[in-house]
Amino acid sequence: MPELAEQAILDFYTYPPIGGDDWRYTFQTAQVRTLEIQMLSRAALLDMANAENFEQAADLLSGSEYALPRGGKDFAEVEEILQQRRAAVRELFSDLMLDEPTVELFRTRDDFANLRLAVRRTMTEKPLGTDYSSGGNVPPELIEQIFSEEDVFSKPVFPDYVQEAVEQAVLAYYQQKDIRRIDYAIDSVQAQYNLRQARRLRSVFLLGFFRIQIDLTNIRTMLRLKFTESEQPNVFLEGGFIELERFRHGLELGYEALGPLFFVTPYHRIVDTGANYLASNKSFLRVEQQCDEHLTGFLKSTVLITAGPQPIIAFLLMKENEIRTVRLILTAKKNHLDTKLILDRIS
Amino acid sequence: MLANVNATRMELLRLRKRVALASRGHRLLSEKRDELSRQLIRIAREIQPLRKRVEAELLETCRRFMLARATMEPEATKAALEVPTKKFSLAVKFANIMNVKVPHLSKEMEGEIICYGFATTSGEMDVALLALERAFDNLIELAEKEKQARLLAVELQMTRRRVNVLEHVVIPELHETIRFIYDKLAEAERDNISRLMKITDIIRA
Amino acid sequence: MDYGLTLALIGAGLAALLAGIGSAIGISTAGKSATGVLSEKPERYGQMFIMVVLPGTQGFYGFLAAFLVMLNLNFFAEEGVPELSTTLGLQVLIACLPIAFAGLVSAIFQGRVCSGGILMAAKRPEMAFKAGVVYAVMVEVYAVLGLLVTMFMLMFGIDWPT
Repeated sequence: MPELAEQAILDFYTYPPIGGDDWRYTFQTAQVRTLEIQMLSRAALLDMANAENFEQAADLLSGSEYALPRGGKDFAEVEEILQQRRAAVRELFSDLMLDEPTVELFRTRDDFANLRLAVRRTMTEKPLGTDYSSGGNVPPELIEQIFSEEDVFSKPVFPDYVQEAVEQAVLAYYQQKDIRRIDYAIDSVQAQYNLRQARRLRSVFLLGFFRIQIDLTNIRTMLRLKFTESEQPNVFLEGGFIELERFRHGLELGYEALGPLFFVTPYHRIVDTGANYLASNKSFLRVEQQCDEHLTGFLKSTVLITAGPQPIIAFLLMKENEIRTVRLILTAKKNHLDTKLILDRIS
Repeated sequence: MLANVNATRMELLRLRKRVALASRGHRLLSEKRDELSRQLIRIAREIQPLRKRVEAELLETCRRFMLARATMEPEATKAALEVPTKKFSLAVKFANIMNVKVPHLSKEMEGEIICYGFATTSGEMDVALLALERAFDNLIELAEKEKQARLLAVELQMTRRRVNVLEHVVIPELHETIRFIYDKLAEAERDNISRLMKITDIIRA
Repeated sequence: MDYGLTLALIGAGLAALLAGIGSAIGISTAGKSATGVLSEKPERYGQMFIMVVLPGTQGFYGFLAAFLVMLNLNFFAEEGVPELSTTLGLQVLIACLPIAFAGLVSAIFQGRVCSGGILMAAKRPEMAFKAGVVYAVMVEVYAVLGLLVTMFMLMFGIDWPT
């Protein structure tokens, strides 16, 4: 098998290539395509954002799968429904994906979230608890045993990324005694693991996706470091399309100079719009919206695939994004936030 | 008071001394009242904009936080905020304003308020936490000022009541008693004189 | 001993076999896409039907070519199959190849085009005939050309002994 071609930043204009068809996925792709049609349209989301109050926004959802029970005034109920939808989408994803490793790869997101929580609790000598997400590959009951040292032989075997993440996180914490180091370490392990897995699965699409994700995270990190004026060395994630030097350089520039700095990258618009909005409104809404938009655009380019795992992965991610958007709008409406804020975030 | 008063010259002298004392106290207390209300107005004036600012900041924090939470996955929110890095301690000292003990709060904060990594969290959370950090300063100042105002107000009320009691009850009553004793004494004097005159008449006759 | 008849039969067999395989693969691809769409939208059955069936034509073309060979060899007549020289047998075999391979390859790819057309029709039902079917038919054209070449060769190019 040929080595997976690594794309450089100059090899594409906006979105990296997504790979070819895989005809095992004909049925699955068709099903997902049909489900995509039933997703909330942009117009529907905008209508919700422009609704006058929470009830009106909730009424607009009544025809969709997010329909709230009548008189469901309690917001916890809304959260519950959204969580259920998310669980259902993940379930569908694992049913449709023929490649088990891809399903596992996306389940690791919950593992890493659990590990962040568990390592922090261990390091600050708090009780570990059992309130972990059950969406990962490691069941919540076993998390406690990751840290138990005694009897290595009866210890259940954990995936290597769990071991690596825990080791790196603990090491990073003891170097500086700083809790944030745990997160940085796990973030970095997670990013590298994703890339490694994508290469092993020989998926051009996944590799492109994770590299874009790393780039976008780095862009946000850069803007956040600038905004909070904090000095944190080595928080940028490696492996993206953009070299880290550019981000470090960006830290030293003013907001208005960031756009030109990223002019040669596909993220020019994100950085430019985001930095301007940040400078004028002191808010990350715009940059986050732009990042989401870029990622969605990349996912939408899978429409070119007639059969393959790409549309299914894209569906999972877009659906998760949709659930987040619905939650955002409903939260904002419930708490009477400015409509303009919502619009800034979603469109 | 009038019922069981000894209408003696001794008592009169004593009462006169008391009146002098009471009116001096009255003067002093009303001066204290004026000063207290001046202080109170000053503090109240400071409180109003401070309160508005704190409320706005807290509202902002709340709003941002809501947005951040809504756009993050619930697990990520939980992991991010589980263990805080910011340590916060509050010390209370007492200061003296017009003999009123008012608390003076001083705080010590250490560590950065942003306690999570960047990859899975929203930037809005940073903004929310930084706004919260700023709001804390003002919040503590506001708490201090409000407590001061409350204590001063209680003191002011008490002083005003004392002044009023002195002015409308104690002093008039004392004056009345004095006049009563004076009248009584004068009556006794006249009585005595007329008796003496009568005796003189009898002797002469 | 002449191998003529054997070669001619191999040709007829290949035409039916390869074109049939192609059609089967093509229909399965299109069919899987269609069932995927139908699992969520059963009301689209009518639109999907034509596109699923289209890759099936190649199998018929192969069958037609094979039938033509058999007809010319008097398979179904009373007097029986005539002797065929090796050269003639080879000619029949070669004449059968165009539809065999054109059918095989075009059916597979037509299946993919149909599959794409079905996905598009799921999103835009009004385009199903305008684009989905038309594009699939364009692939079909080359199978038809293969069939024509085979038929012309069989009918005019070969000097049948019967």
